[in-house]
Amino acid sequence: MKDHCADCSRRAFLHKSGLTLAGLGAASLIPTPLVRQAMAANEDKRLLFIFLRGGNDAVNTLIPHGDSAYNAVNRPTLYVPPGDAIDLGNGFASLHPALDDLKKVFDDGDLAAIHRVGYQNMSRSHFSGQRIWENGDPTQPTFLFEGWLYRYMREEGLDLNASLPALTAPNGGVLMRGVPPYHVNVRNPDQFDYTYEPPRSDKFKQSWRDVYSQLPHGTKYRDALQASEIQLLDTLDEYAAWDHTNWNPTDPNTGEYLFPVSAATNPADPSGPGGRKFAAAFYPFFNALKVCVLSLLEGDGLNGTRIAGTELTGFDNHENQGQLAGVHRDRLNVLGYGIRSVQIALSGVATNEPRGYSSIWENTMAVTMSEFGRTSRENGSFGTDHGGSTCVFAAGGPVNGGVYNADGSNWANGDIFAHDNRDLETITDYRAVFWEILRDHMGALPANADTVFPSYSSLSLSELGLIGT
Amino acid sequence: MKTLSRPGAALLVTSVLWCAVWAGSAAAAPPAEVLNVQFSDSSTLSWDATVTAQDYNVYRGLLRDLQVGNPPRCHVDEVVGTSVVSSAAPEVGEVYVYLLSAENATDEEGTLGTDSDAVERESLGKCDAVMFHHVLQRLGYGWSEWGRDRLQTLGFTAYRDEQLDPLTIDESGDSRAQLWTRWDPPVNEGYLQYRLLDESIYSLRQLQHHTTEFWFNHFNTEFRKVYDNTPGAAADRNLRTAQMQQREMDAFRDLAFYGSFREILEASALSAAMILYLDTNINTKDRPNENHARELMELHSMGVDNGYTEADVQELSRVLTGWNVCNKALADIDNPTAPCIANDAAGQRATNFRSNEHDTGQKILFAGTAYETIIPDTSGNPADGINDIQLALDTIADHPATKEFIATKLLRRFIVEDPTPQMVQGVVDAWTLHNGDNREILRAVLSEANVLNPDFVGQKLKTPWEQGVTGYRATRGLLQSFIAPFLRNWINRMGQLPFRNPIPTGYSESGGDWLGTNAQLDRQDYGMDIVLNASYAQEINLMVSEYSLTTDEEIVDFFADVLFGGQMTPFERQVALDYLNTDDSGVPSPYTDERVRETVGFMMGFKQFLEQ
Repeated sequence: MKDHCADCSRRAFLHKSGLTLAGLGAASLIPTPLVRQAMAANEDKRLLFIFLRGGNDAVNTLIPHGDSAYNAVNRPTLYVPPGDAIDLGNGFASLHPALDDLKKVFDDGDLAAIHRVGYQNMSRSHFSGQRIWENGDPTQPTFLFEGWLYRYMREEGLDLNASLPALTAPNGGVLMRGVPPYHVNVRNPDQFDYTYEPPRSDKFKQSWRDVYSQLPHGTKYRDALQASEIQLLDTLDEYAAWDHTNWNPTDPNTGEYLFPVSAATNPADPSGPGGRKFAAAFYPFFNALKVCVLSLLEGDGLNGTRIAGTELTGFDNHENQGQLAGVHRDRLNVLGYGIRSVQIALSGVATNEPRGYSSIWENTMAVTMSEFGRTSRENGSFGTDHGGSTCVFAAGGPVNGGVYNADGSNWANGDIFAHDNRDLETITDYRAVFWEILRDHMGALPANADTVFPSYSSLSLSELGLIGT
Repeated sequence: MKTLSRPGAALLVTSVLWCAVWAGSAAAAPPAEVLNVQFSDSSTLSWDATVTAQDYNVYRGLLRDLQVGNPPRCHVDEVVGTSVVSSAAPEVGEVYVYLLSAENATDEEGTLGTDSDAVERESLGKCDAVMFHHVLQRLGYGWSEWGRDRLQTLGFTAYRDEQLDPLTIDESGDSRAQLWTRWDPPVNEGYLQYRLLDESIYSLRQLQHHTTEFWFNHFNTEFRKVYDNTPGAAADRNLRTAQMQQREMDAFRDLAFYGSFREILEASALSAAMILYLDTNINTKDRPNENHARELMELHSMGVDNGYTEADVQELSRVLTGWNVCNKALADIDNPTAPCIANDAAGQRATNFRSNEHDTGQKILFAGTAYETIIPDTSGNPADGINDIQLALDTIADHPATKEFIATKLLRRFIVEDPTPQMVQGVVDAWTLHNGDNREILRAVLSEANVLNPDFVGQKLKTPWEQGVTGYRATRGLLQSFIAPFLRNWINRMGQLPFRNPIPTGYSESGGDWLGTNAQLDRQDYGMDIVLNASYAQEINLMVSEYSLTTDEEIVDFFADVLFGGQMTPFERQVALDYLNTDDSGVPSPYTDERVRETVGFMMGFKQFLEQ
């Protein structure tokens, strides 16, 4: 096994000290300065991610109206005129009108809208592209099994003494994949338990625990299966205590449910599908987002859930992508509403919320990512094909809000075709965005950069200064 | 007990061999303990010949496993002679333990000897049973009674060769193997899924259906996208979409054994379902759409970034212009230039070529490489543009990148997730020798060396589909029509319902993609649910009586054999016995029919039933 900077990893330090995070309680009332620093660096900080699967069309999301090549000739059926879009006030960029809820987060100074994020020679394959964004190494799209968030957690010891250090829903994805797994994957938040009940379930759970505690070695997935089983059995009771299904907070201003997971919680909208704001097909996304948010609220800092993530699918819009209506608009609308809901729920201001969670927004970052952007010209099918770099939204209390990489100082006219006369050039490497967030927000030790993102320090990537002081 | 250092194997390696004198009776068979086991050089294990031994089994495990009671697993099966090469060194800090047994001419396995406490040594299953089960797993969906008997009769090579020629397997007398016909012809998506379940669970042509599922997943299409691009009222769209999907499946099933890769590639590329799924129907000379072209090379043939460029994607998308789908008379569905008829007329949605929407300019694939192919300008005779795709597929199917990619993927599905370059080369050589004949390619994948390697046992995770189907088969589930939705629902919950994958990659062949807490929960929950569903599960109780299993040990051992070839540690066996012999509260009580079933479900939650 490759030994990355063993001496400087926080995990190694904690282990070498004979200390675990929980062990620091009453037994060490006066921690040494070194220990205090190791803990203070990342305590209480949380991260939520949303992967936009399929390749989000950044040009119609964070619209470069200052580039005259963004026009109805190049995008006959997709072009959004400035009058329909949401101006972001820098004389250049706008949001798609479906992102009106996201604009509220922006106006609060809690959103960084970062254009042209990617890496050099971007893959135009969904599979490779997603892998690269998730495993953190463009040189190893196929072979690097672990996600970069997994390596971050491992090096920083985030899993130590937390039964549920991280959560994904509905799919596990690659970002937090690794052996042993640290994250709990919840496919259906309303049904995360065995079908059969006690006392029968007590019997089989204990019997499986016995068996899995003493597995023979010699097969490839032995360690992963053992860890998954024990983690599952350790988690079920705590998860049940969250009572996910009966938590339905609302927006204090509009009274709308923050997470529309059913017809009953889906806000009325005469112009929407079935007189509702969102199509029923998006209930699973909102339910997954809801459990991610709940997991962060339920965590009590060091011992709770620190990282949660979900995904929104359907961005591979080769045909009939739509302008002010259509598949792309619907997804952006869901995304904007979702991020606004995250802000409200984590700020402790939600109504219909008898549990009284206090605000953790000032300690949380929520970020989006997508495997690539799309062609800046519309294709022949009223859609777009696979393109290059894309945009990233980073929301949260700690963020330096604003528009990045999309104003007249850095965007020459015609730059929507800067790469291969086809799509956007990468200005900021995705690893720089995420490493900044890990280091400056989550408190990752700078020395771990090359372990989390291989060769990071030698790449000399320029960073943006996303996190406030 | 004797401890030997492995000579020449550096400081990190120690090998421990147990070579106690066997003190059993002098009965002729089975053979006596294998004696004087030692490493005669750094990688050769040798021993003394044992009287009446025809061949030997070598078991290997970690010392630290043995110390907690987990015995070694089959490492080399059926060694003829008295030595074998076992060169792999254990990881740093680990110590391998080897055990040997002899087998006589009637395949009776002799003792592994006794340990220093005079206790009989154990292995993690017996080599013969483990490998027998493994063959059924690799050539199909695991254990069934017919498969067991047939493999017993024919032996590996003849059984494999028979499976490779599925039309020679007569299923007409087997009522369960005929069950799929209840879903034929299909009228909607459910029919397609149920048929696949019936075939996978009951067909005697196991390899045929396993392989068909492989190709269908490889050339993934999604019912919903095809449906969305099919006109008409709902029932008619369902019917016509199902017909397109079924024709594609029929082609894969046929060509997987009686055709070439070139043919199966074309069957996919020009299937009505694929043309709609990857937007070729809207890819025209003035409005190119590169979706299908990219996936055809990246996913269906050459592998990502493997020998083609972005320019090739664009050239191939030009090749594919002009193809679409329309309604055709039944007699015309295989004729892409036959006339289209009204959408609601009798007929089926079929592949169609429109020369007036085809880009007639010259195209060049793989320009500047040894595989450069010029597809000539057809503006003088636009009807000839229909041949562009043939020229393109000829060169793609014969490209070394394609052979390498497909060979690797087949090995990953049927043998082991990370095949060696030598294994890949073996398949590529067979491909070249037999001009891409699918059956011969598959025969090379399923070579004796590949299938009968005990070190590959359990190195893959079952996919959810395999989990669902093997569980049902092994417990002789009868997929009654009212149970079919129940099983389909479970496979959906586990995340791998056929015809439902919107992603062109198909479902993952890598076990790592199927791991997770929820996957663990679903798989165990599934096992429990099917055995506790009384209308289905009485088959388990029938097996207990038919096989005269009259004690708790006989029951546990029988189902351990059925489910995972008997690979069970003594500890796991004891937990299973306790499970059988206690009530819900853990209080000892005589087992009931329901408890027997529940115990089988409990054992389906073992690691070795999630592995294969």
